[in-house]
Amino acid sequence: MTGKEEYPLVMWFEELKKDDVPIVGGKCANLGEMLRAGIPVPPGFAVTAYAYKKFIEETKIAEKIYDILDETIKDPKDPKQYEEASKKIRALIESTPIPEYLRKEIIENYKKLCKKTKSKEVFVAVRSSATAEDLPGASFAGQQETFLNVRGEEELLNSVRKCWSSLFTPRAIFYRTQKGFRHEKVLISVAVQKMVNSKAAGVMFTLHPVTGDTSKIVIESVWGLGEAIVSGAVTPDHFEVDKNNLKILVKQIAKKTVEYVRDPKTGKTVHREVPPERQEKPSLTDEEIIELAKLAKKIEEHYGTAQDIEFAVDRDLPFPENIFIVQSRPETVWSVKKEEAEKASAGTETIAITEAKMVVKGLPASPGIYAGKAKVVLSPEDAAKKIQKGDILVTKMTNPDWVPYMRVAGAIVTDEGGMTCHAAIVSRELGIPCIVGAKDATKNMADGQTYTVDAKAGVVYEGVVEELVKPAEKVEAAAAVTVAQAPVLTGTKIFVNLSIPDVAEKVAKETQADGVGLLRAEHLMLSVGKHPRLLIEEGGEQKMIDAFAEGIRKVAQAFFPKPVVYRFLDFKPDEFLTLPGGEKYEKEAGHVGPNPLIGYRGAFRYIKEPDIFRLECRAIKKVREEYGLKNVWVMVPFVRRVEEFIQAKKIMEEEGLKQGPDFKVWIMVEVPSTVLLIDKFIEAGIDGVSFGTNDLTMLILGIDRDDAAVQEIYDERNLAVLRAMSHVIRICRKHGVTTSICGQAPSNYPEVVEFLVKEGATSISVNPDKVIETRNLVAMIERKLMLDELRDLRERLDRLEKNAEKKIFKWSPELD
Amino acid sequence: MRRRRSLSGLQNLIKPPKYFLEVAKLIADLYPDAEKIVEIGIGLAPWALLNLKKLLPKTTLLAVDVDEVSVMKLRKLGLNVEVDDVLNPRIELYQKSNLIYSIRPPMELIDSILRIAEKVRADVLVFPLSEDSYLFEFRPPWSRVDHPSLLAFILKHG
Repeated sequence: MTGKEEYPLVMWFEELKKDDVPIVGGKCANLGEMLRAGIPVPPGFAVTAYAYKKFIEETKIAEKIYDILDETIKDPKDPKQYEEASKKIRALIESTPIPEYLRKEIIENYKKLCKKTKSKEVFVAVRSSATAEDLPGASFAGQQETFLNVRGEEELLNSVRKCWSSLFTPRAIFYRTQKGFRHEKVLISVAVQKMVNSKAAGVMFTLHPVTGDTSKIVIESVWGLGEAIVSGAVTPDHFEVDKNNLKILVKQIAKKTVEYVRDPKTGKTVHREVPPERQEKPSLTDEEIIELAKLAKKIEEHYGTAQDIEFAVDRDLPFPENIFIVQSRPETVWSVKKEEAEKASAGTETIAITEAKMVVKGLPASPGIYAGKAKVVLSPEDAAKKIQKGDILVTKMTNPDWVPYMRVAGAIVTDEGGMTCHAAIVSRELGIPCIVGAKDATKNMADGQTYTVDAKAGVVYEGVVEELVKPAEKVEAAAAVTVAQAPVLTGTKIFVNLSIPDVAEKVAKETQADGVGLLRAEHLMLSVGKHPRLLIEEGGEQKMIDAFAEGIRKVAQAFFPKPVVYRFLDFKPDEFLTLPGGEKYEKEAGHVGPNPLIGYRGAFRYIKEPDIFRLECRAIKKVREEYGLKNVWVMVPFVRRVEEFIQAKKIMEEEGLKQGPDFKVWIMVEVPSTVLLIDKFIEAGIDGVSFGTNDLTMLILGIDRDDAAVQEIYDERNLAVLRAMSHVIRICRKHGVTTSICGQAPSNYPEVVEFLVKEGATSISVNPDKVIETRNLVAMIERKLMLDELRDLRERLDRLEKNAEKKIFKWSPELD
Repeated sequence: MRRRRSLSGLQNLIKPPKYFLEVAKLIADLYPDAEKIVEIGIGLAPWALLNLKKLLPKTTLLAVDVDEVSVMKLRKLGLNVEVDDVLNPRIELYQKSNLIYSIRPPMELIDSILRIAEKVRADVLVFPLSEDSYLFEFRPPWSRVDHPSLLAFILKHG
């Protein structure tokens, strides 16, 4: 909606669908979409983004806004500058009169809503709906404002204008800058929606917001309006429902001392004490919980993605008409899971966990462990003065105004709130360890004191607890939150191939693979963005070590304690050539031959240029020793001669990578010489092999993989290739050496999987999308093999019995 | 604000490896009249897009990457670059594209790139690492682009 097209100023929810985000924002578009899908949504209309555009253009304040932004925010990391810009812009918007024709349009539609709801002056919720809001990967939740229990024309118009100005709250400006959204591209629409007179309200997730378990629906609810949950004022009731059979699995009833309700006299939202007899009663009945879960499931099915849903239960209507969905948006944490940032503070005295003093305990809302200095702050203004990068932010509860300070915090601890409160949602999204509902954190934790926040267990300890902050345990903490959905058991391990670390956690959780059979280094090199020789020339060795270590860490941590087999960099010379520095260090150095696939690559390259190979070894060492991730093993690709392997292994040892029970060294079997000399490689000390069927087929059949003219005869199932693999597996089995495969053949051909299982390969590594399918196939083959074995055994027993009977018959004494 | 930022660290972005010039040339030859072309996963390699800007001055060019730092850096070169995660894409960024291309995409992202292209009915052009060519070679509807030095595969939706 950037051109000169004309759009309506107001649109009713029933006219909207999800594709209307550019004109009515995510919130309104979703309300319309849900209404169309048969989800109960309170009636209302959207004041479109076009109306806002007309407002800022016709009153000529648009240019002023962007000038203020440009002039005020000079340091994107300074929260105060966001606040200053926000103040100026909001005052400007809120003091600018709405053009007459636009006022008239909004008022006429409000009157229609009154008529529709049979009310003289209906109470409405006026909610912001930004055009870039709530899109997958961009949670703008709660950044723009909402006004509840609004009644009357003037109050409505003022609230609409305040919603418009809330496009420029400090946190909204901050989020857009962080997410790379351009301020001028984000417009705002406003939803005007009949208020539900809430008996209870809350939030639902169609997956477990902490563990990511998709088999559960999690519901949190409180008495009155749902704002009490998001603001963290009340610890909510917590329910978990099985998504498949809709059975209530968990019911945790919290003591709910306060509620937000509409004052029957003034119509305003008030904060009041809950009568003692209701405080510990469930805010939802069982039938309401199940009905809500059904709706959550329906919404998720409709959108095809996990949802974060707000609901309200009307006190004036009978069940099930009393249940309304007021908002649904894509769940943004597990869909864009970020790495937990867990950095222990260096140089501080450490203590053992057995001696550690527990300071407070609460709900572990965002997993991770962090040690640092606490800053007890009770308001965003207070935070602006005190919070520095890496501090533990301790407060009663956060709201969207806190986001700039949460962003720089190392961990967050709050007195109030449940798993779906603001602090919990935002900290999960930011990947910051967070404990909520810790009751007395602001009293018991002292400003400037060092603490260890164990957001796996929900405990804060005094000082730095060494056992917790050391990386091995941190890994355990992260691993503990992965979904425990038992995969089919197979004797042959099913590994996964990975090339980018950012998807590791998701792949580990979704596939339940037994490890990573091939972690490729090439995309790590691409992300560094330069030829390694150029890096060395520029003194950037550490940059490469750190970048590789960080990538490998992400994968090793996601799969811990399962093995991750890192394959050393295997760019072909023509691929190195495409990196900056490639012309000089590849072409001019004479590395690019006529056929790069069989040129200067693999193990030969490592021993010719050991200084580059050593950088990779140091990255592995860093991951294994500094981060304690001993599940990282290595694999040497494109080995041609035994001597190459021996020399590469020697370099590894010189760099401190010594073979042992927890450090295995594999080679890729992709050159026929490794097949023919497998016994010699075993003598040289390999722990395992992995077939690279792509190159192995190319070299056994003499087919250039990059030559289209001969591709039609390329076939990994060729008998020569199968015989080669059979030979290697048999020799390796004899010597107790692991055999695996990471080429494409198992993904393409089920018969190759069957062949490998029958031959006795110990593992099969496939691309992420093939793991589950391959596991099921392997399970079926293994069962078939066992059944064949049993039948064979039965036949042999039958034969033995028959022979025995004959003997008995022959020797029976009665016959004598 | 953008103009005031330092350009240090971008020197290495200036000297383009020839490969990217060839990529740009191939795209310009195949899509001389394209209204919009999007590069997925530009990373810190802007050279193909920079050259396309010269070769196709009338075409709207956009690149996306999940890494905010890369995006910020490339914007300083005057490129139209947006932060986007193709696993959870903002589909509106790709609307009205004639072509979506990706240079050496990780194999984990291929399906997502395809889904985006299908949704917006754009053609897809991929320049894979040789190790990943099996994902495209003899896999209709992918077809190999006839080029003397580039390994490229195309899938047409348009």
